[in-house]
Formats: sequence, structure tokens, C-alpha cells
Amino acid sequence: MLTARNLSVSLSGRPILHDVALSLQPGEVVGLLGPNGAGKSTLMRSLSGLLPFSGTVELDGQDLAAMSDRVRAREIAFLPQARAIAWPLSVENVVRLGRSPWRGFGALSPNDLAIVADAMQAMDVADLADRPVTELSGGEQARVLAARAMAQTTPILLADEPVSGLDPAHQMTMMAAFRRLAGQRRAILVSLHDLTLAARWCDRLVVMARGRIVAEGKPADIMTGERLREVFGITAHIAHDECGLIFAPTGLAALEPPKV
Amino acid sequence: MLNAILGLACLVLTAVSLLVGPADLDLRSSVSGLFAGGDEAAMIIMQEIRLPRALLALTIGISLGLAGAVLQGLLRNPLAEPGLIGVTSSASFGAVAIFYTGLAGASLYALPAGALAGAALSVVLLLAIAARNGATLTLILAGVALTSLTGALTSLVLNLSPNPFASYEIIFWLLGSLRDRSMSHVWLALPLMALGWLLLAASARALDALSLGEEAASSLGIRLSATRLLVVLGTALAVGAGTAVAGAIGFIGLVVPHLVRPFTDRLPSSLLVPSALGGGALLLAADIAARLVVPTRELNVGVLTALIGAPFFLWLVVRARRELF
Repeated sequence: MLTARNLSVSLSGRPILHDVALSLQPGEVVGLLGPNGAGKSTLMRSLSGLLPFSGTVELDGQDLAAMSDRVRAREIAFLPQARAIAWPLSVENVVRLGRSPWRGFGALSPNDLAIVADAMQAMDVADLADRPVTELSGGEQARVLAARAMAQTTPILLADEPVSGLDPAHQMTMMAAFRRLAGQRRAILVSLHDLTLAARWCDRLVVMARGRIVAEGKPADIMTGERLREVFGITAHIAHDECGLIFAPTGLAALEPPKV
Repeated sequence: MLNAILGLACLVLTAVSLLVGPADLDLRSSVSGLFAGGDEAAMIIMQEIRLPRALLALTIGISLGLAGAVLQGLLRNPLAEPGLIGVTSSASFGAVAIFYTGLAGASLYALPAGALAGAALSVVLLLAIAARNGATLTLILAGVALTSLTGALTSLVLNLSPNPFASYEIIFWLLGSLRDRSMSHVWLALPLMALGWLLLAASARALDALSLGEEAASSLGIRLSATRLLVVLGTALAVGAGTAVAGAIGFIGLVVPHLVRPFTDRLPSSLLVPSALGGGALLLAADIAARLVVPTRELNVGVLTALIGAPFFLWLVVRARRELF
């Protein structure tokens, strides 16, 4: 279980996060929503130990700041938004990098290889195993990198806009893979911009604005028209069907909604 | 398989290097001179002239190839090479300063010591800058600035040089050569280079993770500051020691990783051993060629590597742009 309290981050003297409190429980997929610049990526970076922060982040009662990098990498995986792969590595070699925190000096064990194969299967990239990643489409690369983060087999996975650039089917493939991980008692924090996707696939949503958490709870409880207007500055048509909530943005809140 | 071929090439070229020289020794007296003794002239030629030359070509080539592969991995940039972080030019400036003060004649070790001091100074500067501002890009820019500064200082020394003869000596040294080196040079450089190789090799796993970018590498448990420290220190030791005894030899560190990369799975760690062996083989070959191309006058090997390396690199870029990355 990950718990953050009074988490504040400043970058070059400018405060980015203010007193954020957040907890992640095993077995849940938590959606992180908020407009651009709300501090979602900064929150994920500091939770994964990549940014200095004030406040406390604890992992099962242990202080995150006191952990060695390698130990932390066995507890928390981070899937950055930037999808840069420097060399034309094969898909399988990229996914194998997820095992780095676990391997010794020798070759990967059969167990490691099985985990790599599972992760590729889960992200639907097993067929591409031998292809150089640089020759894949952006969406395929995104899935390969997600498989890399899954292969890290950490109790906690932080994914920063993992579905951006993916086709609808693969967006759901990825969310379904996160749900399966949650089924294995792992916790996933995923930042998203697609409100409908977030409402359908996440157990809980956390909404950020201007460096603070402004709402937290079940999608149906917190995703009101009022909130969309205040936080995202949009008006939206909100519907309910047997699968959950559907959001259809209709206009900017500053303007009048277009007459139908 | 690739390593075996390159290792064999190193062995064969070392043997050829031992057999080539102005003294007309046949195969038998060469071999007996190297190992047993026999003819005293042959022994001196083999053990004190050709052996150190071949050993230095091999080990300096290994240093350049390895440092080039590691720096390209660290900086995720196919244009990186050992000269980029300013170590080569700082070492050159250190040596030139020794020439200028006239200490070069005082001891065999004065010149290498000056070059090593120059390399060490550049490393201390680079590390201080890297510690203040952690970005890898800062390291590149600081290296470029350092290269320009030490280049300018070298020019200043040439400018102030008391007589044309001293200038000539400095320029000749700057061109890089393995001629007339002794076993003392080998014993001076080899331990430092070997330590540098160990530091560079220790960064292998981190370089693989860095393929995914610095954020992803950090999240995989790689401590980037430690990796940068390893690479800068390793490069300074390996390349600085090589420059100290042989002058500036360019292009090997840039070209070799590109030559071997298509034959690997392109993971930076898979590139280290082939690049090291390839560097050794290439410098041995270049040094043999430097002795044979113009029979009456030996070329400086640094001139030859640049002369062949630069157009070859251009051809590589034009022919297979994709293979660069």
C-alpha cells in the first residue's frame, strides 16, 4: 500500500504540487484526471522517487525516500509519458529491460523470460517480439513500453497517459490489462484524459487542478457537470448506460453550450 | 561469434604489427628475438621497439573503441565519441604545456604526466559541473566548451613558443603517433587504461536501461549520477592514459561502434566487447598502414585514422542512415 502525505514539490523555485495526500490500495485501478499542467506527471514522478519532494511517501510503512534505487524499482514501476527509445532494439529486448531491477549478473532466468512473455501477451505485442521498436507505429511502441513496465512485476504501477495515441481497441486492451494486474493484488495509478474510459475502467478517480487534489471518489459520485465546468472548463452531456458513465463534451464552459 | 572473429583479428594484427618495421628481420629471428633472445639486435628490436608499439596500438585502440561505445550509450547519441567530453584535448594541452616549459626532455614520464594531469583536471571540472546540474546534456555542452578552451590554450602555447623547432615538435606530437614508444610507456598507461575499462564495463546494465530515456532508467533503479561518474572517470582514465603516451588519435571511438552495431542486437551492453576488440584491431591496422604507405617516411597514425576515418564515416552516414541509430 502506498501512502503520500503533505506531498509538495517545487521545480526551479516554483511550487508545482501543494500538500497532496493520496493512497493506493492493492487491487485497485485509480484514474488520475485533470487538465494539462495540473501536476499529474509531477505527482507520478515524485511518487516513483524521481523528483525530490517534501512530505512523506510510505510504502507498506517504509519511507520511500530512504529506499535504495534498486529496492524502490522492485516496488514501484513508472511508465513515463515520453516514448523515446534510443536504439532499434527488438521488442523482446525492450520488454526484458523491465526485469533489470531483479536480475543479477548472469542471463535472465526462465522465470524472468516467462514474465516477459506474459507481459508481451497481455499488451498484444507477442507477435512483434523480433521487430525493431523503431519500425513500429506510435501506438505499438506505447504497448511495448507498457509491457516493459508490467514485466517489472511491482506491487505498484504508475502509468502516465499510457493510452494516448492508441486506437480504441488497444486503449481498452491496456485498461483491461491494468484490471487484470489489479486482480493480482497490484495497485495501478493511471493518468487519463478520456473521461468515459476513466469512468468505466477505474475503481476510483482522483481529480487534480493547479497542483492540488480537488476531488476523489467513485466516478459517479464526483464526475458531475459542475465539476467538469470548474476543473476542466467544459460543458458535457453526461449519460448513464448499463456499462457506466458516458461523457460527451459539448462546449467550453466560458462559452454558452451550442444550441442543438 | 562476432567477438571471436574480432578477437582473432586482434591477434593476427598484433602478430603482423610485430613483423613490420624498417629493420629487415625474417620471421624466425623475429620470433626468437621476441621470446628467446638469440641475436641481440633482433631481441632489442622485437622486445623494445616493436612489442611496445603493438601493445600500445592494441590497448589504446581498445580504450577508444570501448569509450566510444559507452559514451554513445550514455548520451543516447550516435555522434558521441571520447573526444566529445574534452578529455583528449585537455590531455593534449597538458602535454603541450610540458613541451613549452621544456620539462619534456627532463624525464620520459614528464610528458605523459602532463597529459594525465590535463585529463584529470578536465574530469574534475566536468564532475563538478555534472554534480551541480545533473543533466546529461550539460555534460555534453561542458565537454564542448572544455574542448574549445583547451584547444585555444594549445594554440596560445604554440603562439608563444620560443622557436619554430619547439612548435614543430608540439605539432608533431599532437598528430598522434605510436613510434619510438618503450615498454615504460606501456607500463605507465596499461594499468590506468585497465582500470578505465573496468569502470566503463561496470556501466553496461545502466546503459541498456538508458535506451528507454533517463526517467525510465531511473525508475528501473539506475542511479544516473553514479553512471555518469563511472563513465566520465572511466573515459578519462582509458583515453587520457592513451593520449598521454600516443597523442590525440581521432575517429576510432566514433567509427568503431557504428561498424560493429549492425552485427549485434543493438543493446548498448552487447556493443562493448565488440567495440573494444574492433578498436584494437582498427588501430593496429592503421598503425601497420602508417608504416607501410609511404616507405621512405612514416606517417603519424593520428593523421591516417582521421584521413580514412572521416570520409569513411561520411560514407557510412550516407549509405545507411538507419544503421546509425
